Amino acid sequence: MSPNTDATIPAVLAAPDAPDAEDWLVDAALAPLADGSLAPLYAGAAAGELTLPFCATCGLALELEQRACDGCGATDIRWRPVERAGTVHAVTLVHRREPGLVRVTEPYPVVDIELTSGHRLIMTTLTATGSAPAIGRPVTVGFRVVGGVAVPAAVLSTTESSAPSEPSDAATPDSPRATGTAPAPVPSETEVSQ
Amino acid sequence: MASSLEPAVVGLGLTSMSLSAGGVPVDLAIEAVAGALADAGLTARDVDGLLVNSSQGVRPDRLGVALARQGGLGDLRLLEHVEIKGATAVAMIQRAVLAIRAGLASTVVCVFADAPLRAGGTSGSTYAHSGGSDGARGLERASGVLGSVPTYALLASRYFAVSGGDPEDLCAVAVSTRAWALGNPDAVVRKPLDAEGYFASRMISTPLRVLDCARPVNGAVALVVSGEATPGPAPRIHVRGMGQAHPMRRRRAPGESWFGGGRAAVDGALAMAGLTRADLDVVELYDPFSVVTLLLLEEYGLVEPGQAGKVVRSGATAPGGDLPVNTGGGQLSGFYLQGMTPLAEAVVQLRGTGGARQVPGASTALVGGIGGRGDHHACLILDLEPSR
Ligand SMILES: [Zn+2]
Repeated sequence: MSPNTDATIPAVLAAPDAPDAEDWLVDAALAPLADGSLAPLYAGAAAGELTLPFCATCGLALELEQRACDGCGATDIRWRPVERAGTVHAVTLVHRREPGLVRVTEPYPVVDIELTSGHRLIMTTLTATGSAPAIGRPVTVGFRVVGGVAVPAAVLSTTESSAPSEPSDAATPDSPRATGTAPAPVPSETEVSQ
Repeated sequence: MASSLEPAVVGLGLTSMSLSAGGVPVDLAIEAVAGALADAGLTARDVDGLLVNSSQGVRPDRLGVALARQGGLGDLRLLEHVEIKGATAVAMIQRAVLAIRAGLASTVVCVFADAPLRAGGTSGSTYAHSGGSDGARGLERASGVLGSVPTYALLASRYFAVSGGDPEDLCAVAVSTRAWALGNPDAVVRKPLDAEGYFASRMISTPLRVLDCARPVNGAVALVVSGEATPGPAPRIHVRGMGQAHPMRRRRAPGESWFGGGRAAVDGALAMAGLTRADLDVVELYDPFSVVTLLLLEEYGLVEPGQAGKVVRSGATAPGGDLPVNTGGGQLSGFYLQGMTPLAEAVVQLRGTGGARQVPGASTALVGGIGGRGDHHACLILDLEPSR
């Protein structure tokens, strides 16, 4: 497991335009561990790029926590920017709002996105919305900032402006820059669900 | 030395199921173990094996192998903390049976205990604060995916899109399961429920309402599996078939990843038992959410694909129906003690001690346990008749 290290990006970077702004949805206490096992994703997000793992040998899109390719068995993983576009695979409108962790007073959406890169990613929307987007609907991906850490968020293009927070320089899938990041991913034991 | 009889479930012990804070897992476990041993007519000195199933999540007082020492047991030949997430309880019975057949132990206690209800907070709050900040879970939590309900809501959303189901199907599961709970004194929710009551209940994460979600309790269940003749009055419940399936559904686009792949566990267990689905008198499934019952009925081949909602709405799974499912009220209305919920109910039904919810003449049961997001399946075919 040796991610490319040709570019070094600080693991934690504030959003370009509003470094100290609070996220619309959750408290800063829910900031993800920026230098943990998904460090390349967060480093890319800080630079406005959606950075996801691929098998360095056969190019298969891998799951976020995968450490060996199920296609060819290789353990060399390459994180690289992908097109920030996809469609809604599944969706829910969360009504339960845990006091102290969730900041909104109305239900909020969570979507599971099929990305054009072949990955799947669960996220909420870039800005508050009380409606759940339909399965199959196209979305683009921008970034929220939670406790100083940029995280992917869905932009519902036809009803929601992505202007303030979405980075302007769209990543190209095969961009040579930022294909790797400083800290090597460390395997972790993370509770996935019950 | 090999045991003299085919290994069978000979003891069952349940604590009271509490909806309020109190108790710690180790004490609840000790109480359930004592109950199971008494039920089997045994004492702690008859036990030479202990398998422990702790709850998921980061809890400082989770159960472990220290239970053997703390619980006053003597020297053991088998002691393991088994861990396949929610599928663990069912897998423990498999492990116990195989160990006894191999001569590694003769009488094995299997126990699960949990106490998620804490003073000053709801169980939902307990789960919302669990999960950590690293890995995919950390990213999801930063995206507002707190606890397990939003995750299963996404699953339900996708299941509806694929199967054509709708919230009426979820309602039918909740109503059917509640009807069974009415006859179970151990069930924590025994108020009659109709569709009106279901749709009036609080939405948690669309399409899942609070009545689509399991009822966490503080409590414990223990079973004794033995290859020896035991003095207890209850009939021996034999493990005629067992199977596991751990489908590696990749989260990749396009394609399904929320469900599918569990059927091999049931196929394998039935083949081992020499039985078919038509031989099943009762079906006891792990039902943390109503949608999971629908899903597993299809995934396990008990109904045709896309027909689970229709079957449940017909009343087939409810009391008096021809496909009795989760006959103690399941985890939805009975009590949520993970894999022990379906397991304990299957033993009760085959013993014929189900009282008002007894399925007449039940002699063969399917028990299905799942873990993760349906990533792990472990199942048993339990039967009054031995397999040899
Ligand atoms: Zn590969």
